[in-house]
Amino acid sequence: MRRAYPVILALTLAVSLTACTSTKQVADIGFKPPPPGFTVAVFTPDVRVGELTAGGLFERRQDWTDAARTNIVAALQAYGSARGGTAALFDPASADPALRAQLLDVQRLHRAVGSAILLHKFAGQTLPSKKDRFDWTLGSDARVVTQATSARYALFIYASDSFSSGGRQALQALGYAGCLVLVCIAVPGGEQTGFASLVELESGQVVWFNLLDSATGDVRTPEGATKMVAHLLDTFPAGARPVTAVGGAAAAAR
Amino acid sequence: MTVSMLSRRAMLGGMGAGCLCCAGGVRAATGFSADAMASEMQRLSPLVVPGFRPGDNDERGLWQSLEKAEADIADSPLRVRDPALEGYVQRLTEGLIGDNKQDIRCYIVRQPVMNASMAPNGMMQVYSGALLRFRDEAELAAVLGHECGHYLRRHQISSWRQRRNAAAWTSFLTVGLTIAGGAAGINNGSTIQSLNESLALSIFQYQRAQESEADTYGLKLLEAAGYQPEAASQFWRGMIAEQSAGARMRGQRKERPSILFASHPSDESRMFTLAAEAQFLAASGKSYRDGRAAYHAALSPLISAFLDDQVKLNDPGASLFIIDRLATDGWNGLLHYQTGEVYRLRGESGDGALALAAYRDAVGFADAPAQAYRAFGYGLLKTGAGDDGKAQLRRYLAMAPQADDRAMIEFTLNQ
Repeated sequence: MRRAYPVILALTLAVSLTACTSTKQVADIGFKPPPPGFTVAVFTPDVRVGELTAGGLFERRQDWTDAARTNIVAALQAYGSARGGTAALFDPASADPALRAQLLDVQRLHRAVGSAILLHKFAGQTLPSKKDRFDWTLGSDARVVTQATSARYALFIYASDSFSSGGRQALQALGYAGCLVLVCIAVPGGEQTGFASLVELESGQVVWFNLLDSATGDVRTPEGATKMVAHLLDTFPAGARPVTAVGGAAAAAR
Repeated sequence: MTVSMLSRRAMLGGMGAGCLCCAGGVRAATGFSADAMASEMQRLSPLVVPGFRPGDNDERGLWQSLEKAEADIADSPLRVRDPALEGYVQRLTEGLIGDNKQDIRCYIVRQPVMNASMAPNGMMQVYSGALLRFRDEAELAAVLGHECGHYLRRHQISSWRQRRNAAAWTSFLTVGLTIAGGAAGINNGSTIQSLNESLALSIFQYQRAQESEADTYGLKLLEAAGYQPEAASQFWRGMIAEQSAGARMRGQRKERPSILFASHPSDESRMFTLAAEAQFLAASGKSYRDGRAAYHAALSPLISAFLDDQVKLNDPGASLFIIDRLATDGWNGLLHYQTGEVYRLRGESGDGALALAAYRDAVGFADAPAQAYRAFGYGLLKTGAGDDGKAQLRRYLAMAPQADDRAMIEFTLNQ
């Protein structure tokens, strides 16, 4: 009996250490990336970072969220300029005042559609009518983005990261301590989740969607943010050229 | 809104705004001593300074989420973009909350249900369904005062912290007792379950205590602003009567959800408590106002839209109750027309005749809405009075030449 302790402890440690980053790409049925050079409006990302409390609740932290947003924006800019596009992201809040309200609506609509995809495609709450298909759309409302930017596609990024609070870590330690009496309880810690979603603006259809789920990583640091963006966009169709506004570099390059 | 929905939302939503929903069970209203009420009123003072900004990490995070929520509400198509009405509610709130008025922003949201809510960053939402139900400005002020009470007493952040602690206790007890039980070879399952249940119940209990405190604080603000303090309990009396009327017409009894899982005290308990406290406050012999004329003047441009939303819920008992209350100062074309709509939507045997009679009453008033003529016209056509019916439909088109359904009406006229 006594000899069993180290074995079990080692096993649980092994399990916790192999907690890894997984990205899952949805089968983008029918989506054939256009020839390289197609234009994409990369929307400013939707980011939230917080603490996982002892009781398992998410508690948002303003300073962490702000830092992470800055880092993710920088990582996306680097990603964009490395591919020959403009480095700036598209922020509907500072777009042409005549289109601002409609553009913000598209961003909110995508927030709703993206959450629905997460919930009904990945979180287990499968919808019978969407069981073996992936047909989510923003409808014709999405065309306003082309009007504002000349882009053919829009890319939306959502990123969430959480870190175990002191209380949560104590609870995890208690769960491991249980191994000493052969009752190991693995208490999950903070995690990183996110998605990148590509919308074809003429049809409004979500044509490519990548999900990230990771027990490691830290978007509060520039390196962590770069890694997250790399994971999110690891299967992103090659040849995209990010653009922000009509009349800018994008229009000139046409 | 069912109780289970409310409780689930309260548990999981975590950061939902303190609101004024109608749900709850029964609590005996006992022990209203003048001394106790006086000291409670005395105790209730603001916990937020004017211009308050959060300093703690949890509260700053909460505010950041709320900024996003507020931007969504400000841009929402459901927001009633009527500067006059929003300004009126804003001014009223400022008059109640006093020194903290610079920190409050009021939004009117078009939702045909009774609700109002206040967020800790000063974002207040008042639903159109609430505005439809107030008898006068004093009743509106009673609800606004309640929301100000939540704000001034920092209820939401303390409720979040209490919930966070309860969840932590739940986790530690569950893990600790499971391990201890495993070590000792006993099954602790039922102990763990009952401890967790009492911790969950403590969350609701805490919320109900906050609602009661906001009621009392709101009443204090109401009285200080010169409104008649009975307005608060009178409002709840109206809510109870409306729910009973709605249930009666559905052939049911008014719901009595379990108090244990309720986020708010029962309507009855709130009514009794507020009535006793109002009696205590009004003992000074001061003269109060109800602001009835001002309230109806502010609401009148939107009453037609708000009432239409309510009637389309097809809750005939409640809708007729609300129409009756709006008719206190006299019937008009709109109220008769909507009465007809209530019967038409219910569609039980004999309702066609009741609807037709109501439409006939409606068009007898010079202020009858154009739709009343359309409804009356189709009603007459159904009874076989074709010529009369067509005359009413022509009247409708004359009054609303740009009507969306013009082509359909013309088709009927050419039959």
